[in-house]
Amino acid sequence: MERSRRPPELKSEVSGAGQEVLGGLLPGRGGRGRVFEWISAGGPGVGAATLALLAASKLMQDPENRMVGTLVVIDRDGGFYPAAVAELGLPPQGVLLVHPKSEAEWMWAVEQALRSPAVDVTLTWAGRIESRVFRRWQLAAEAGGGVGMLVRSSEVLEEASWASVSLLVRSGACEEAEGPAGSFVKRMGRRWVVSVLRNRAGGAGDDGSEWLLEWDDETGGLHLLSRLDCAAPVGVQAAG
Amino acid sequence: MPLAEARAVLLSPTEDGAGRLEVVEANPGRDREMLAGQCEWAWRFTPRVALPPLGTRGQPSQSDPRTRPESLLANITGCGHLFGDDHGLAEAMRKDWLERGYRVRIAVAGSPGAAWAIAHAAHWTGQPDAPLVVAPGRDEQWVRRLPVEALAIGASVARALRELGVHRADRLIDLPAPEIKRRFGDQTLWRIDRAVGRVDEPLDCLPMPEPVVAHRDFEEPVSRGDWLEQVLQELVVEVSEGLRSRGRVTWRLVCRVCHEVGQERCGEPGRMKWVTGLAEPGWEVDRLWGLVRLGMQRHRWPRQVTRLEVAAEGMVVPERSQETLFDVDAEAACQRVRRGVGSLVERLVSRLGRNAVARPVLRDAVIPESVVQLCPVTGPDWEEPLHHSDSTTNGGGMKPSRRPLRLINGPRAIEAMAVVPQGPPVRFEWEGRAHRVLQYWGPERIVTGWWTDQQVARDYYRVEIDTGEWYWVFRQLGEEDWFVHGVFE
Repeated sequence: MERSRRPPELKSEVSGAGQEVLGGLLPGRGGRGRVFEWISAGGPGVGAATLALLAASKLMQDPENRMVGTLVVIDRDGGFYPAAVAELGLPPQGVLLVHPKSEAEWMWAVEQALRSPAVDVTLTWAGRIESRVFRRWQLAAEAGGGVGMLVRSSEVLEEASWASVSLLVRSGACEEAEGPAGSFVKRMGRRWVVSVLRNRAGGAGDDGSEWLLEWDDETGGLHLLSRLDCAAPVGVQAAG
Repeated sequence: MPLAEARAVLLSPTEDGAGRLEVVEANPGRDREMLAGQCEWAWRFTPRVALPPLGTRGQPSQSDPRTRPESLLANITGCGHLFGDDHGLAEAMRKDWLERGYRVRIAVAGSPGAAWAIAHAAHWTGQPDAPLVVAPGRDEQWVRRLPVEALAIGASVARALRELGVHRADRLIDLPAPEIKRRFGDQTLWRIDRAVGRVDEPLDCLPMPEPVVAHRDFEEPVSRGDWLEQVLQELVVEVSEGLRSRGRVTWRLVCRVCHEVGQERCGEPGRMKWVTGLAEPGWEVDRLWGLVRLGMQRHRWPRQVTRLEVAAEGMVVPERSQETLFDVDAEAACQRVRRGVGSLVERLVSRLGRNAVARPVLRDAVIPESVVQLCPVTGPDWEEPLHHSDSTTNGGGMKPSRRPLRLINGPRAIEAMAVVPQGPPVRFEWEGRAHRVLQYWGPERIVTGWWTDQQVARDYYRVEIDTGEWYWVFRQLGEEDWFVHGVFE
């Protein structure tokens, strides 16, 4: 069996505690009272929700590295699997799972969770949202002081957004895409390219900046890698 | 030690106050009242709960330790299966009291006397906090091993027995009955029989309180929603007042509506009801009415309503805790947040329904579909954890995710191709498109349940496909069929 071509050399800029990398992406003090958009450039399996939850786990850590607070997951499809949350460092007992039956209930539930000062992070999956509803959510997050994490598909790229930070998440697996069929070259783990589309909140990322992140499958560390030469430009044509 | 003696011993308190004596006068009446309040919490586990028997003149008897207001006696016959078994029930009781700040000793035995004896000698087992459950028919065997004091025979008799070298209950029980009667009296003999369960000891159980109910019967059927809403609000106010006057709080309000729609057909009035659950018991009218109103939004008023009723169910005595003047300590902040989450939960449940809001609990199971149990978030079972003590992060704080964020309800069959038999997939079709597998992690073999109808034999792989997406797929062992079971969103 033929080995695939060698992956490009990667320079590791930061290889410390994984969540610190994501912490740098979030504006000061984790961006409390703001809404973040995690836009998936591709199908649902790209992993935008995973990154959003990794960022959430960073927000929910107290100075003694304990997980505190409440994560509200509002899932219309009902397929959210809390066993995965535990493996992301978030204890399931701190998760409140909400299954609205209709769109009206979903919009109401998201607003209620964002408005509650007792909720640290509200995660939901959102397609197209009316601007008026989005604005209400943004105001609710400001009032509640928590963080809203919206996981969205790339069809909303052209839409007006009330999110403080919009991040485009692509798979960082492009270097193997050209490899021959049946060839398996093990990377350290899962890779993402995260691009800042819009940042109205300050923090580390200016508009247009990009990171390549790798999640080490063995250790669980999230590393910030230098950009790959083959990384696609920000305005990638998203499939699906 | 008598009070005067204690004062003499601690006559010269040290400067740091370590030797200071604080005297609190015993008040058996207040203790009994407090215990009666605890009965109401115990009703969650069994409806038959009794206070200790009263001594002569309504006061605890000096010679009978069983009359001290320090124990609750509960008949749990037929209740254990609701918690798995008697062990489960005892453990649930212990946890419940512990969470409310009480350390309790729980013993389950065939008679109140044996249970009291074992609970009061729990330190003898070396694990005083763990509930003790005696197997049926083995009461006497357990009691025989306890110190004589556990038989509730009174301090003077116990002292005399110890002087005679009788320290353990078996020595006393084995003495001839006439001898015990002659030396220590009828009472001692009766108390021995009581402790080993030889005499019937009926419990004088406290009656459960009547629920607080308010209702209106209309002379003529009413169909106007605004009128009905006005009446409903009045009923909630009445219930709230009723709770307040009785010094109770409630876990849920049940609203019932009787109407005449369909009566002509089936001859009986139509009925509708909805339940408003609370995350923390309460009686406050604004809170209750706000939640009932949210619940109403899920329902449409029927036409021709003839009766409205609001009932408070699951009433308990409110827990009183020390108020903090300033929010300087973490506990006060935690309390504030807990109330905030409770308030959100109540609103969500009232508007979306009880089944729409849940807290996931991971079970010790192997089959992916059975790992997560969704627990209700209102009522007495709800407890909002704030500090997750077992979740201290380890450096990076994360483990690589081996489970997908989205589990497909009912794995979906796919056409997949593997290069080697029993090997990983190299291609598969998903949602009408053929995908090439770039990388895989696995297999993780799950074979279980062969002794049941739900046998599972799967080889799971995490695969990365050419679009950069990750999926959780498995091969059905034996049949060689492939399925997608999850998406790493």
